[in-house]
This record gives sequence, C-alpha cells and structure tokens, in this order.
Amino acid sequence: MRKVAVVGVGHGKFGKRTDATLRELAFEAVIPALEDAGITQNDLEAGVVTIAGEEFAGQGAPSALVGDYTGIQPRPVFRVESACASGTAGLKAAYGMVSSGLHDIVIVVGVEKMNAVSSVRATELMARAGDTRWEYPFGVSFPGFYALFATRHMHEYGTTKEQLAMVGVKNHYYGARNPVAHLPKEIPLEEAVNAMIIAWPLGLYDCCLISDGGAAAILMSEEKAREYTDTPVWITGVGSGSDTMMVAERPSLTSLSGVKRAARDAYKMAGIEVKDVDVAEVHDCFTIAEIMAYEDLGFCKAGEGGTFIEDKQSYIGGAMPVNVDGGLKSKGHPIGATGVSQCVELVKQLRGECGERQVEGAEIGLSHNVGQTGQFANVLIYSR
Amino acid sequence: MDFGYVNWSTNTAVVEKWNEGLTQGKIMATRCTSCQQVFLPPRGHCPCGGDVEWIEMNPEAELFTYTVIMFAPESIADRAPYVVAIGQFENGVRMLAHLFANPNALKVGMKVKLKPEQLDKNRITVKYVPV
Ligand SMILES: [Zn+2]
Repeated sequence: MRKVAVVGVGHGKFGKRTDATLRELAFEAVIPALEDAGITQNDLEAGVVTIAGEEFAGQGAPSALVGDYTGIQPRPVFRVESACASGTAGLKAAYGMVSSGLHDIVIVVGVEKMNAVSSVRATELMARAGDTRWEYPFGVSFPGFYALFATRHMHEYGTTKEQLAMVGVKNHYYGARNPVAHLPKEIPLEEAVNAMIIAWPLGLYDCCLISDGGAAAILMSEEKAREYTDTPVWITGVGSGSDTMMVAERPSLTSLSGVKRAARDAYKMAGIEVKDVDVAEVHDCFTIAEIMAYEDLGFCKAGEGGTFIEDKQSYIGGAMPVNVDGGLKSKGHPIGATGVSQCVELVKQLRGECGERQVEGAEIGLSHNVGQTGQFANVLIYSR
Repeated sequence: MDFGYVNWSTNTAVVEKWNEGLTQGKIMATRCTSCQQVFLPPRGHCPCGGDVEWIEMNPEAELFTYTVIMFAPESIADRAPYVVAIGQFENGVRMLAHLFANPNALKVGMKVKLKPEQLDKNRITVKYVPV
C-alpha cells in the first residue's frame, strides 16, 4: 500500500445556520481545503461525500448536489454513510482509493444540515437509527440509549453525575476558544450538573448539540503530497469495528466492543502504543461516551474514566488531551461532518496551528468516531 | 395485531407468532436447534444458519439498566416521561421495554416481570412491572 497524507483541510462555522443550506455548508469547507492544499478542483480525481441522513436536509441524492455546487463535478463523487461515523468512513474510503493507487488526489467532504427540521423531529429521525422493530416502538431517543450506558456505568463503577458533567465543562472550556464552535462559551460545573434532564441521568449539558456545518480534507499519495506541501500529515493507522443492532443484546453496556477492535487494529497498523498518542479527538456525543472512550481506547483502565476526567487528565497538560477543540459537545455535531472535523483539528494540531488550544509538540493524533450506539466505530491515527 | 406503541414495520410471521403469544399472556422467544442460542425478542433466523424453534420464557427478570426519557421522539412524545428499561432473564438474555414504576424508586438489580399489555383492539406491547 502507498502512504497517504492529508494535505489540505477546511472547516466551516458550526452552528444553527439559518443562513445556509447543505450546499453552502459544503462550499464553505471545500474552498478553504483547496486553498490550504494549494490546488483547484481541476487537480482532484474524485470526491467522497459523507452525509448521515438525507431526511434532515430534505434532499435526495445529496452527494450529487454537494459535488455540483462545490465544483467537484464532472469528477466522480459518491456518498458514504455510517451514521455519526460517516466522516471517518469516508476518510477510510478515500484512504483506500489513494493507498491502492486508484487515485492520487481525493477530497472528502463531510456535511450535515440538521436544523431544517424541529428538534423533536430531529429526535424522531435519530431514534429511527435504533432497531425499528424492537427498540424504536419504545421511544428510545438517542440520549436514551447513552443514558442506559450511563446508568450501568454508574452502577458497575460508581461513576457520578458530577463526573459526567465535568466532561461537558472541559469541552466547553476548549470550545470557548474555537472560533468555529457552535456554542463557544464556558459552562460552570454547577449549572451543568443541575441542568434540565433529557434522559436520566443525562442532562442538557451531557448531550451534544444539533448542528449544521461542513468540513473537508484533501488526501494525496506520497508523491503528490511532496509536490504540494512541506508539512504533510500522514494517516498511519485505520481501524474499524461494529456491534449488535440491539443494544440490549450486548455482553457489556459499559464498553463498545467495536471501538476496542478499531483501536487495537489502528494502533497495530500505525505501529504505536496508546502512550505514543499526543492528542485525541473522541466522539463525545454524550458525556458518558467520552468516559467510555477513555476506557475503550486505553487512556485509562475500565471503570476509571470518571476519575480520569475528575483528575483533569484529559485537559492539556494531563495524560491525554481530549477534544481540545470543544468536541461534539461545544464545537457541535453536524453528523456527517464530525469525523472530517476531527481530521481537520488533528491536522492543525500536528502542524502546530491551534493557538491557545495547541498541544505543544504534538506528533501523533487519534480520532475516534462512533456511529449510532457503537454499530459503527472507526479509529484513525494521524502522524507528522 | 400490531406490536408496540408506535411502529411502521410490516408484520412478518415471526411478529405474528410473538403477538399471538402475547394475547395468550405468554412471552415467547426463539431458540436455535443447532447452536442453542436464545433470541428475545425473537428472530426467525439464527446467524449460524440453524433452524429456530419457539420456547416460552420465564417472564421474571432483573433490572439491568434504565433511563427516564423526558424529551421523547415526536411519534411518542405524548407518553413522556416514561422509563425505558433493559431486563435480564434467568437464561441471560435481555430485552428492552418500558418499566411501569415510580422513577424515583428504581434500582439496578431490582426484580421485575415482563408482561403483555393490550393497548387497543389491534395493538399490543410488553411492559416491565416491579415484582
Ligand atoms: Zn444457531
């Protein structure tokens, strides 16, 4: 396999974007990515578009619209979908096309327009990602599924509601320093702990936002990367896994087996151990998800995720800085864009371009992107 | 007969048989005659390719985990708040359903029982109740 580098990245403003539809959101990520790489659409050979649900934006065949409006056409485009892990699934598809020699330059465009529908409707659409025969009829919302994990985690390990809230406090602390974040403001711990309950034990500040936005990344073969940049960021590890459709069937509800598999394979492929990772982007769709990620990725032992955040080990200066861009919680979670957004942040971290959020001297970054409630899991390793 | 508070799936033979069990007050599961895996809710096929047979479950379970849904999906919003629970049965299988109990008196490990509940003439579901 050929080496693959990320050479250009672009990121639009995440938020409740009443001023933009799917096409504009994609555009404001694609153009900066092309400029960052120093190329034009003419240099692209293919595009991968990652959008989780066309029902949100009300546009069928959305990848065709994105390909057209951003000027990728007439080069080939197609869509990759793995729910909330669509972004990294698209990066993986592009990695395969470049590493195999099929293409030399491929763009990945992650985008989602979620606020075209009401929040109660968005909750409905996301609930349909649960088993529509046996789970959906009981009205299990997305926060509901993660709340089932949280209750069990609290029971097995004594994790507290305060520890959950601390994850949100951290991510808002960093999100307040990220100009593209959806909700760039700090949240006091007391406010987070006492916030309105969405699905017990998860409150408002335990849940990610319903966001609009886009992110893009341009992948190149080694030969092309050397031609266009002196600071390529290599994709050195790609691991993936899956899990049962029905959450109740799983042997453990405090861990995601697909994530463990993805991490194992990604570390192995990159030839690294967890201690070699300098900065991590993890899928904190809910605060409990970040705590489970600490454990499943090996940042700490099973059951110690609560104390890991309480001891501020996931802040800059701790054992493993996590989501120093604000994460899904504060930066926002336009579903199909998230995995690509993680790529953008890590590329900037490894190039040293993150200003006050910079992890000094970061050389290796990890991206953890989970779809649904673990049915899709991708872990990518980026290296300077 | 349709299953669940809300649904939009067509009724396959497996669902018809499950619903029929419920109308008789029974919780039915399927079991693979080849690898012995038990499926609750029932599946018509085992991934190993073996044939499945129907068995009646002992409806008593332990509360494995739960949540109280305050902000519900659109189609079921009029029922909120409600408790969603996963019970674990004596043979180790687990199933998700609503739990009808005081949300402030829930405890992981408490004894519960899964019961059919006829919602109207054409609609049935299951619910956990404390024992
Ligand atoms: Zn079998």
